[in-house]
Amino acid sequence: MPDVFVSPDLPQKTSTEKSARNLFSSFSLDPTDIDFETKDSNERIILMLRRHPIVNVKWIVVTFLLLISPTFLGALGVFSLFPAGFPLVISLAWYLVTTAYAIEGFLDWYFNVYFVTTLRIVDVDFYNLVSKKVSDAEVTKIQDVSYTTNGFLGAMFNFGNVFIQTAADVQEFKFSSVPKPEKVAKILDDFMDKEK
Amino acid sequence: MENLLTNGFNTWILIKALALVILGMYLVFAFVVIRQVKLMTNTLHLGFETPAKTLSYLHLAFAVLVFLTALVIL
Repeated sequence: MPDVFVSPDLPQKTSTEKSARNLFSSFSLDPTDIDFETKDSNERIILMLRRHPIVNVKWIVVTFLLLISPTFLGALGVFSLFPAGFPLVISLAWYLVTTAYAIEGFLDWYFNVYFVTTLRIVDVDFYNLVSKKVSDAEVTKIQDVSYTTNGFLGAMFNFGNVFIQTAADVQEFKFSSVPKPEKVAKILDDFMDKEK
Repeated sequence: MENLLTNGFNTWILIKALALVILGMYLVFAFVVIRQVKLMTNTLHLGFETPAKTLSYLHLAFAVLVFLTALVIL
C-alpha cells in the first residue's frame, strides 16, 4: 500500500531558532503550537512568517507622539479656549483614538502572516477592518523563488521581500519584509528540488 | 433665523450634540474592531487569541466610558 503522506526532510532548527520561538516571533521554523482555519489534518506547518518586528517602529513612534500631544496642547493653552468639560472629553477622545491606532497597528502586524506547509504556501491578509484574503498555492506549483533586501534597515536587520512565482491561480506571492529572506528562499528552493 | 443664532442659541450646544454623534459613531467602530478580532482569531490560532479579544473589549469599554463622560459633563 502506498504511503498516504510522507513527511519531507525538514531543515534542522538551530538552537537560536528553537529558543526564539515565542508568541511574537516573525520567523518560526517547524512550529507545533499554531494553526490556521483551512489547514488539513495531514498538513504540517514548516515555516510561519510575519513582517520583521522593526516595521512596528513607525506605529509605535506615532502612538508615542499622539500620547504626549495633549500635554503640549495643554501647555500651549489650547484647552483654555473651550468651555468647562470640553478639555477632559477632548483629551479622553484623543487617547481613545490613539488606543485604536495602536491596537490596529499591532493586530495588522500580528495577524498578517505567511505559512509554508508540507502541502502549500499560504498568505493570510486582513484589511478594511472586516475583510480577509487567504491565498494559497500548492508547493508542487512553485516555479521560481527570488528575494530582495532593500535599504539600510533591510541590510541592518536582515529582512526583505520573498517573491514566489507559481503556476496556481495566484501567480505571484510576495512575502513582505520577512526576516532572513535568503533562508526562506533556500527552504522553498529545497522544497522545489524535492518535489522534482 | 437671526433670532435663533443670536438669542438664546448657544453654539456650544450644537458642538456638544456633534461630539455625541461622533462618539456614538465611534462606538459602532469599536464593535467593528471586536468583529475584526473575532475574524482574525477564528482564522488563525497563533496563541494570542485571548489577549487580542480582551484588548478589543477594553477598547469598547473605553469608548463607552468616553461617550458617557461626554454625555454627563458637556
